Amino acid sequence: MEHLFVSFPGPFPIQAMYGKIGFYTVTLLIGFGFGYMLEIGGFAKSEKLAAQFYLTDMTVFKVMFSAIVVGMVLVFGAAAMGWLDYNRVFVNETYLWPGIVGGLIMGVGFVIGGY
Amino acid sequence: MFFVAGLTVGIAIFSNTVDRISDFWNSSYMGRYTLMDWLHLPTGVVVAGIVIGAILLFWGAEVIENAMNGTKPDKQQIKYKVIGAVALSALALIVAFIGQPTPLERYQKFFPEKAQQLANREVQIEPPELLSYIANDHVRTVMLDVRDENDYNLFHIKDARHVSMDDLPKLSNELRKMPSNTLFVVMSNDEARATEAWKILVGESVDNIYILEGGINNWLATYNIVNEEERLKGTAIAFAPPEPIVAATGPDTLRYKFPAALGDQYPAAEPNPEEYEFDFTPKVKLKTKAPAGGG
Repeated sequence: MEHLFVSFPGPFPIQAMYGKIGFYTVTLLIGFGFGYMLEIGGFAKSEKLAAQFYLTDMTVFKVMFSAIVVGMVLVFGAAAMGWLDYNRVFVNETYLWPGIVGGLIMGVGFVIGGY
Repeated sequence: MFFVAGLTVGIAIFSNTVDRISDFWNSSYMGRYTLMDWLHLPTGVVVAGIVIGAILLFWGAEVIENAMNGTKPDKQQIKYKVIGAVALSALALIVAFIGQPTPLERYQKFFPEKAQQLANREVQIEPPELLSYIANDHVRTVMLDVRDENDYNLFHIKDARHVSMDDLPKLSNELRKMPSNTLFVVMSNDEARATEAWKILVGESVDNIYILEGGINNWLATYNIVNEEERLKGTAIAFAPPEPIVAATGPDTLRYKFPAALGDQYPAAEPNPEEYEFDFTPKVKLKTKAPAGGG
């Protein structure tokens, strides 16, 4: 029963707390929720994605940047309150130029796909 | 259908050509690099700055969008946007005001069990135990020498890495990435500075970290033994052993006099494990890492 209750600070070892089935359930719920939100926001429409490039519809920018900023405030707020050990939060390692080139390729693909 | 086809073709092309571009793909590696590292600013300042910048960018995006579409701003929605912006700004300023905990604060708050282990002397390992791990091929031993550079240059254990106390938080990023079979041992002349370094590294969430019991002074007391045969042959002359200082010295000071600053060239820097019996109370308990998530 004690595994159902979290012990601070996070990030929480979901698999250790709830087992493999619990881990997969949590990840599926998060993935489904994320995909659902993107879908109802219209991000599945290629025209909306391309419109960001043409600056006629800034929804992509506003949604993505809002998510980043809100997440940032919550993560560092939790770290400041002692609820989250930021050193154990996964941060993607930076490969600078491959990241820039890869982002450009992906962006060009998005725009072409939405023509 | 075309997207799926494009995705499939793209994956196929990439997987078959990645070897040719692997040099570029793995280039400009910067590790766990954050805005705080780039701007050299405290976390709270960066958070507040990004939020304020984001609000300004959102306003600019609205202006551009309306200009491109020839529309006017929706006045009914402006109220909600202002409320959201004010709320987010307030949260960011609170985060900036509270500030992020220092490594020692994190040690006290997140790791109370470690403080108990320190008090019970469960994390101070004897020189023979350290030597046994140095000789152990299954465990990678990383020794961090936090003494002054002068003392380090006079004598240090072979492969011990000199680290200043100020560099410990930054070094912790590198230490956390090491495999789970890595044992970290901090050392100073006695234990005082090493204990402070240990607390900082524990606060930075570095696992499997221990303190050399008695420090370098104790290591020398254990292993500063020159083979008499070598001494008679004259081969030990070039490495005249350090002599203990009899007069009392201050806390955490090196209590040996060295004929020269030879670093790890003294025999005591690399004692032969086969010449010593490993008689100690084992204290090291290597902790395996949880699998990393996210990404």
